[in-house]
Amino acid sequence: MSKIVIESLVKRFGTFTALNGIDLSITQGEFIGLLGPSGCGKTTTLNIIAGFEEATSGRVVLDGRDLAGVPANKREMGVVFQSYALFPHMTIAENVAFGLEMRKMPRPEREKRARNALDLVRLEHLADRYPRQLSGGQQQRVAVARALAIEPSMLLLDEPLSNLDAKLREEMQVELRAIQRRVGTTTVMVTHDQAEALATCDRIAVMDAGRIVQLADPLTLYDSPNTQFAASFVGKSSQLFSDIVSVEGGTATLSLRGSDKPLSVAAAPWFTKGAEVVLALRPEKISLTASPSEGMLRGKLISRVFQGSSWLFVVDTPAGTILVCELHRGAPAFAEGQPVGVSWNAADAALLPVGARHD
Amino acid sequence: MLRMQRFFLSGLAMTKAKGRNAPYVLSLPAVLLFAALLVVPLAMTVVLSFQNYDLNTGAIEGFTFGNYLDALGDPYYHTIFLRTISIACATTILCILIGAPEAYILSRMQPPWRSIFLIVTLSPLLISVVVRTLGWALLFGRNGVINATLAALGIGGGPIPLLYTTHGVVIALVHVSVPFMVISVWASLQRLDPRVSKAAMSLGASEATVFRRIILPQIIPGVLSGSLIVFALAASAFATPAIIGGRQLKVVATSTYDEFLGTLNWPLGAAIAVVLLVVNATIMLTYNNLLERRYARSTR
Repeated sequence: MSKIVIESLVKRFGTFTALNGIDLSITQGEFIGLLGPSGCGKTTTLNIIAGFEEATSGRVVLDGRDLAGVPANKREMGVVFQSYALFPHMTIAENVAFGLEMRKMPRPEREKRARNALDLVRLEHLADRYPRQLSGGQQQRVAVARALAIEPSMLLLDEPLSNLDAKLREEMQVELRAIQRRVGTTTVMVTHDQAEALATCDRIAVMDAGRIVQLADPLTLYDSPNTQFAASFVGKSSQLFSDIVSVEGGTATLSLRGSDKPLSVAAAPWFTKGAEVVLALRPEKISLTASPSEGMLRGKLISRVFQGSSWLFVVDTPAGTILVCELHRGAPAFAEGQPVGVSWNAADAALLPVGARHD
Repeated sequence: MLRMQRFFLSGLAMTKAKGRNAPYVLSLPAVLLFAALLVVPLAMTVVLSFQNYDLNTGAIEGFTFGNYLDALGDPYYHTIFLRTISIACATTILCILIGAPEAYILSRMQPPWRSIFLIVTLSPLLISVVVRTLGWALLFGRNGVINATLAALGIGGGPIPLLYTTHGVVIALVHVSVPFMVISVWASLQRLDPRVSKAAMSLGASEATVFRRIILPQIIPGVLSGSLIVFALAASAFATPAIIGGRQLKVVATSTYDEFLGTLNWPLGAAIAVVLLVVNATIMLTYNNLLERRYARSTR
């Protein structure tokens, strides 16, 4: 049963097309991420769901009811903004109770509900403070409590963690996910941070230029991106350009420059012989050997970067630059300038068409 | 080597000392300007207000409270002080009622119109107060534009007295002071995060509720500072009451002028001016304290 169905949503600002046909169906209790670079239309989508903006065409259907013409204050959506957007002249408790007050709930009950909501984000001890007396992370938790206090039909998060520092952001990702699991509210989160989307969402819609490029669960998205854009936007990846030599069944054979043997890769049915393709490789799925002849590709290590828990090696090969990530276990195994062999499991390489596929 | 080090250190100490004095040195021009143009004349006025007065020789040496007793004890001056304060209060209230909504409407306008209307709103400040007030005098007169129009339309029974009346002065003062209220409220509106209003709407608040519960409390500090400016300007206004109020309807500023240049009783004029300053400052500080205590927590 779909909680909300978005059908061929289009939004134009003058001559600029912000949304170019968005279709999305979200089930009850799901945590969906809208992920993309700035200007891809993810915030516009959220604003249309929330009722802050009207779509040029298309429909948004919530629980079987078309939301066209329903103003934002009648949609029962909890919205959390990047800037927290707390009411600066009200205490934390008043902030959280505001939505209940608008529903004309009697004071004792709304105070109880506000306390429960603050309890959920572990801030009940700050109920009598004012927003400016709280840290950024605390303010964001208040914003979440305020949105959840009205028991909204949906929770909409607009870049909720972007104003927080890296460490706090990771903590909040875990907490946000835990809170959402507990209350079970269907949630849409807009973010430009792929790590955040991978960590918190059930499914992620990768957006580019007003379209959804790929809609998948985090694991599928990471392991099997369907476009060059998705592969480069989500996680790190090295991209090797090549031509298909032959296609047989579900397998394509490529010849990479600098490689002695032809390479067999699982290929989707639309690939044809002679097509230009990109081979996307995740850094942690590639291994290096000290003897170049043992690898699938020969290369030279041009630089290495220590990242704490891991090493990032940059390898120059005739087919292109390859990033390799290895866990840090004592001294690094390779020196800069050293010739190396590069290899990977054929199943770990994703074969993608060149450029964005808009069909 | 050691000597060089010592030299270097002493140089460092010198820059440090210089650095400590720099704020005072830098603020010296402003301090001098203030001292010459504000503190000295003010002190001289205060000294003058305690001097004796002789009908033939003017101000003479000596020390007396007589001028203050005259200014504070005479019912004639009571009327003038009360009139001044009530004109200033009425002007301030009207400026809040007109200026605050005006600023809000301006802030909600679309880009090209917003700047155009903001300039239109503030443009009266570019014209001399005297010229603007003379304009009002032309409108207000018995045969002025307003009464002529009313007569031509056959509305009302005869001309409405506007010139030489308290409400005439208030109308002209409001026109002069509204831009200051608009600027002040505009500045506080600019600081608001539009997403705060959106958040309130998503929680179920209507447009009217958003304005009353979310926007209004946040712009109160702007209204407060605007009304302080307007009150101070209205209470000490000279040109507008002099032209619209004329010789009959005196306020403190015009009667001070008359004491100095009409009856030539400088000490009494100085005493009236000092009383106005004290009353004005007391009212403003009290008002500021009261409202600031009430709204301090919301001002970021």
